[in-house]
Amino acid sequence: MNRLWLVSLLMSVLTLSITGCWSKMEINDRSFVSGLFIDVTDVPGEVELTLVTPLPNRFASMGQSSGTGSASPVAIISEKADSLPEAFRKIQESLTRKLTWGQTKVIVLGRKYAEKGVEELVEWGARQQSFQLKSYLFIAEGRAKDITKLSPIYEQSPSEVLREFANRRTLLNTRLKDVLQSISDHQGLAVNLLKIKNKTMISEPEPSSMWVVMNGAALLQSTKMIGTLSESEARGVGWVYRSLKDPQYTVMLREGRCSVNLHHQKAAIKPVLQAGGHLFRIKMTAGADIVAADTKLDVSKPEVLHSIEQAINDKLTADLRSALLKSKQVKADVLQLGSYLEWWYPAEWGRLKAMWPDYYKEKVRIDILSRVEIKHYNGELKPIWNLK
Amino acid sequence: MFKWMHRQHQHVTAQRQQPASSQTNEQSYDNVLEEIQAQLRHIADISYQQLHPGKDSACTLIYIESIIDKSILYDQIIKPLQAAGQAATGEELMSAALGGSLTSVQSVSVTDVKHAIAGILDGSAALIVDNLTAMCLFPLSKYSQRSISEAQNEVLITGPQEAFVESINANVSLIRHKLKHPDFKMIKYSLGEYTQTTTYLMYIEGLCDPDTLQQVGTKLSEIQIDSILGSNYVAEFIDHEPLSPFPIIQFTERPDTLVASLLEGRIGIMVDGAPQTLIVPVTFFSLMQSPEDYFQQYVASTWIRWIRFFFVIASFLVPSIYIAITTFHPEMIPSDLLTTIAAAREKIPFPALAEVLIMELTFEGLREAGIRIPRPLGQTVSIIGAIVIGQAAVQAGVVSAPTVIVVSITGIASFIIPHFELGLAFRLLRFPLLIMGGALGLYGIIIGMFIMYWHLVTLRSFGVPYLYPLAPLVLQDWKDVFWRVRWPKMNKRPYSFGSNHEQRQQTEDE
Repeated sequence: MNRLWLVSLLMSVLTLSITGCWSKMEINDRSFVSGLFIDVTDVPGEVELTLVTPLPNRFASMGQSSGTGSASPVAIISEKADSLPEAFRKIQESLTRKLTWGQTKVIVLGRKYAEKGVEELVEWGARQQSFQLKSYLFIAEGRAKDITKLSPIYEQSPSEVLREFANRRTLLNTRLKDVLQSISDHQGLAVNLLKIKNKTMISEPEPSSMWVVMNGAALLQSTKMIGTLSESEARGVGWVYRSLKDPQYTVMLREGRCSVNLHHQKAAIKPVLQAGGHLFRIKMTAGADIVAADTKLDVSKPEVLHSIEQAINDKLTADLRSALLKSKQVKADVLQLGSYLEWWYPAEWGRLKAMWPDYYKEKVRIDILSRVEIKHYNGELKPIWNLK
Repeated sequence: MFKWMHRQHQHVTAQRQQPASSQTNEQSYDNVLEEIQAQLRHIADISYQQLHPGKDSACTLIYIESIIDKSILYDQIIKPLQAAGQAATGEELMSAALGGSLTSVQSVSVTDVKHAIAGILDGSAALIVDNLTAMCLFPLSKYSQRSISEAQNEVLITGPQEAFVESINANVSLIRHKLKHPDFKMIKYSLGEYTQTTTYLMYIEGLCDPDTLQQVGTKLSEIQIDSILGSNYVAEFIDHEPLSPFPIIQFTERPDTLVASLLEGRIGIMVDGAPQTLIVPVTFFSLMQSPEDYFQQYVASTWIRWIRFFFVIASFLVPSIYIAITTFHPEMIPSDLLTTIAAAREKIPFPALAEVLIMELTFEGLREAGIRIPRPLGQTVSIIGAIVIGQAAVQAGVVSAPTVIVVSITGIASFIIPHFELGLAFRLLRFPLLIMGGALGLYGIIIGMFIMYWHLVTLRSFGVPYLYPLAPLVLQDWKDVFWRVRWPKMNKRPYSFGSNHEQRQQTEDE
């Protein structure tokens, strides 16, 4: 019995050397990076790294004094250097706390940086274990650093605002790890595109506040950004990505228009091998609730409902088709159709893999079918001014 | 030098081991009365009452006034003796007393002076006829005792409120009020050289395990000690796992708990002089049960049991997990909570582990002091505790508010455990686990929990596995562990403790 205890004790003590858990660090010796913003500078070859870190001491004083402090509760730090790790090191050298990745939620790339290629970011991020690959990715139309100037009226820091953009799932919610996946598959990806607007808000003391909106999507092929999609096209792509939640569509009818909310969206893709060029069947289904039926047509009649559904189907098909057309032009397989081919017909994929982007542009045919069914009328059956 | 110290120690203990009264100088006495008087000299409260001096039937009654029932003594013993002694001889008187024709009080015959003295000190009156060596003892003991009151440490809302007192006869009467079956057996032991404490071993024959019974009985009869002043003395002797922090003996001061345990096939040990009774064997889950579970609706008691289990785990895990996660794994905390905690900890001078340790030790000190506070001061001191330690320490920036929250939740959670000794075990275990969490993070906590679980799984209490019926898994006994089914459904006794008789209720198919 004694020997058993001794042996167990020895084994336990030996395992202590492999834990790595001796790196104890007080929470107040750390600074958590909540957002990462990357740009190119005017000097070729240089990058500018901007980090957004919340400041707990400002939060503490805000809690006690309960006033709208003029000091911002986040610290936004920028540095320029030849590479991302160098810029990071420069920032760390000037800080009193250790930058920690554990709470990073958002990465924003400037457009020029994305067009140049994100290889360095992907390599740097994937290699560090504590880097959060699940952080959301955005591309800004201008410089990413300008996004940090937005007024976070409802939230406390700019990265929170962007994180909630992705969480709300109004458009896309692509993460860095999706980029990694698409790079390894040599396929494309769509990423939210951010645009800056200046608005005059009556409730705010400043004359004009900077407001950031999502303005469509950017197309990435492997590691470079090569195109953009408009908002409706991005919604179509988002549908297939399952990142859309309760989208609202407005369609024009024979007279008047109708707005519906869609739910339970599904998109099924199936490849069909054909001689001239493979066919991909995309089937989109959803249920719809009528939000507003601003029309004199009698909405309780099945024909009218069918016409509304037809209009929605047409719109959805047109949106997705135009998105795919754009992606074909730039050879970006944005819906990852190559993966579907690989899953269903691996031999065929093996044959086509090397020249897939060209094949995608020239030969691939896409057949889109959309089936939306109106399920609920919501509050009223017919408009109150049309009750006859 | 150690050998010298050892020899000195041996010399002293050798002298101490013999009670003075057994080192009899070999003197002979004229009669037993003188011998008794010699042994009981310098004892002020012994009365020697002489009856019929000068007659043939001259006799002496020896008794201790404070522990004897004087009304029975005067009415039933002295009066008949006086009446009978007028005409009878000494032998006739003694044989009448021994034969039971003199008095209605039961008489015990003794021939040895040692037994007579033991009887006198135990509350009997000894009758000695002057010329005879035969003696007669009348057991008349009546100690002053506390009246039956409410249980102070096992408080219930519904259910019986009475609790044991110090006198073993009163306690046995409470038990007999509930158990009226000839299979309920009690075996008497007199433990303790100087205290001669009456101890009863109680069990229900046919329900309990004969091996356990034998084991416990042997252990009890092997006890050699100066005094038994409380049930804990006996408990420590029969405890066969002294190094484990977890109790393998249950203490209770409620008669209904004792009776319910006996009916499950367990064994009770009642010690005179202390209201706590011992119950063996014990499982972890029986220590987590409160008698209140059985006097309330089964749905309510199930819910409260779940709360109890959750808070038990919380009571020893919350501080260590808080330290481990904030120090080693801050990425696990949601961002908003992290900001709050970091903001609260901004100006605190101590590292998190030190802070929690300080607060925990302060809380332990408060708890101990609270037991001994005289009632008039209790209110004031509790205000001091709350305001000074809680509020002011946080505002002064000595400790942070999340730490106070963590420590208070832990403190409250540790009082949820119905049995004090198990709560004590978790209180003690919290500190090593805290150190492990502070030194090694979640990995340290997992190691600590694993060791604790390992220990619990291999622990046995008098042959019964401690985590029965969880490990080994006996699903038929789960009716009363994590939830309590209604009484009509509890128709089998728990399989662990007892022997054969499984059916508790008469069902239709019997």
